[in-house]
Amino acid sequence: MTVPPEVREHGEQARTSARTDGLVPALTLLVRALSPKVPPRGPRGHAVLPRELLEEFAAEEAAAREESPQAPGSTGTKGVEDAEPLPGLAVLRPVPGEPAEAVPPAWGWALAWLRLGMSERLRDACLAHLAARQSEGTSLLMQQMVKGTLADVLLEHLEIEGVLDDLATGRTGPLGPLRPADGERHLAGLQEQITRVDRALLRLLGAHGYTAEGPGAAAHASELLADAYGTAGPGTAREGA
Amino acid sequence: MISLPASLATAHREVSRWADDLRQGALELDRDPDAIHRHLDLPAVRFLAGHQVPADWDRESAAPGSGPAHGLATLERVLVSEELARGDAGMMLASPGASMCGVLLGVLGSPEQRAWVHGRLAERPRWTCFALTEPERGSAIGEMTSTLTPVGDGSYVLDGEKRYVGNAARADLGAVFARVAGTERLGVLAVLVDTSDPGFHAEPLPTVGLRGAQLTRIRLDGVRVPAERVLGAHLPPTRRGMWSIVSVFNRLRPSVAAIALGIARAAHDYVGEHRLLLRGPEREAYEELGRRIDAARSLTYRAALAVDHRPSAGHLASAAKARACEVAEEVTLRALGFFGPGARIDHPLLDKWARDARGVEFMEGTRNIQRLNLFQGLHTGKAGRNRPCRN
Repeated sequence: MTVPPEVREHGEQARTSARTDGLVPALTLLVRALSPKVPPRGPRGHAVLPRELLEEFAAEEAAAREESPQAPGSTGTKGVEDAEPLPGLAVLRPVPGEPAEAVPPAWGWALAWLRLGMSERLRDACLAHLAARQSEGTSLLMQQMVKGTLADVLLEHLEIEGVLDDLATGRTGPLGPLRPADGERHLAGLQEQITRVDRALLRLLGAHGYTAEGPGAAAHASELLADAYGTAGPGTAREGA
Repeated sequence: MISLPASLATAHREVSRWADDLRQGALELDRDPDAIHRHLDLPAVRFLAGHQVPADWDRESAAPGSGPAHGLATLERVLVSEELARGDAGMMLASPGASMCGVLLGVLGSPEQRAWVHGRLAERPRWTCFALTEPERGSAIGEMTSTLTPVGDGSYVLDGEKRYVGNAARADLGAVFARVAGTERLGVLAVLVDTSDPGFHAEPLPTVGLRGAQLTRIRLDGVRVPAERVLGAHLPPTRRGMWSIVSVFNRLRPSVAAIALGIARAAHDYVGEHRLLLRGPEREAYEELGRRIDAARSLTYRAALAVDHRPSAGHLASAAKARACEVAEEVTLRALGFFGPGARIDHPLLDKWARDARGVEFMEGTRNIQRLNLFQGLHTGKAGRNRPCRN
């Protein structure tokens, strides 16, 4: 897979925004850039997107229907779930019988950048939280096992960054991958890797990472993104929820 | 995106071809580390000895030990090490040449010191050694007890013990790290020694794998070190102490990562060549190992480039070293699983690589040392900044 430079820029911006501002602002940037007309739907028709954008899309759909009442409606904003996994984030179910529009090209790749940024944000939160906690007169951050876990997390983040960059550039030659890259499989592996790293970080936070108001909720929303836009493997049901 | 200078690409192709010859001596050397003397005419061995160069091997100048004209010395070493270790890491590490001493000389050596070492290496195949680690103290600079005692004219007398030093028993020249008597924890210098000088004693230590590297214990009993053999004396003080040692390690770690990757690739390729009909979960497992290798390679190349651009940028080097060693152990162990019970006996190369993979773990710091470096980088904000890779 080779990702056009402008899309790469959007992916990297989404990473930065996720780390500094959080998931909803980063996803807003990404959806506006890559899927500005309709909610991006995953391979089985699910979508996770900022509620603010959902309302914008819905308003545009309503205006289009007023203009052309006979035109066929799109899956667009149908199937909204009541629950919000994160304040300001909406989830759409697939609409039975209505095929979803294809996800924008390189969406999965850009989403992986966004999730990497979220994982880095979680790492930053861990550093701050653990530095402020004391045990027997020393900061929890300076406990060897904690240091080791955080080092492992950094290592994973550095590796993921490199693989995402390689996938985007389609690098070949002596510095390129030894075997042809299978973009979808690579991405699926990277998404799993990001989830595993997030879980390692959440374990460092104990119960603090499990409360709905703590950083665990954003990590769950990040997992939800990976799930909704994951690869539909062989044997996966393609229709209905 | 990482791009490769054309001259390096050409040299890399030629070295890759030479690497295949190393495989032929692998098992023989595993049984007998002295077997390297029967392979000194192989192009790869001659290249490591400094007696043969590939096409397009452009150097900055004709001066001995001069770096590559393209300026990416660490990346060059990484590419060469990966390919040669894919041939056989034992043969590569058993080969004569400047090896780690060459890297140290590149950072701390004066033109005269480089000329002395490389001049002697040019005469015939000669080995060098890099003596840092000490018994019971490892490679921690602050704990080092080998001592350089000044004798008043700028020269020193060297005493102490070193352990796990590759090739020292066959080396003619070596670099030894020691503390100047009476100095603080970090008052460590590197000096060049002639191993034929009185007081230098080296004895091989049998190992489980990577036997070609011939790890050695060294005893230093009053070895005289003339002033002109003290490395870094021509540099400003800020450039000859810890800065230079850290800088040398940052340059070496990607190469060790590359050796680990070469071992992993050898085992992975072996599975592909000898299990032609991999299907289902086995095929999936094989491909997943390939992706793990590729991800670690990418990290290693980026680490090399980072150090080439800024020698103090060692966090990627630590990450690459830790990950590549992990991958080497994983791939070499799982490769055996593709051949069922008795694989270690029926496939001696696979057994050798599974043993060899353990040998890179402790070179230039174990995985835990690399993890501590990574944490330190994270804690101080030097590593893990949100900076896309744009090399």
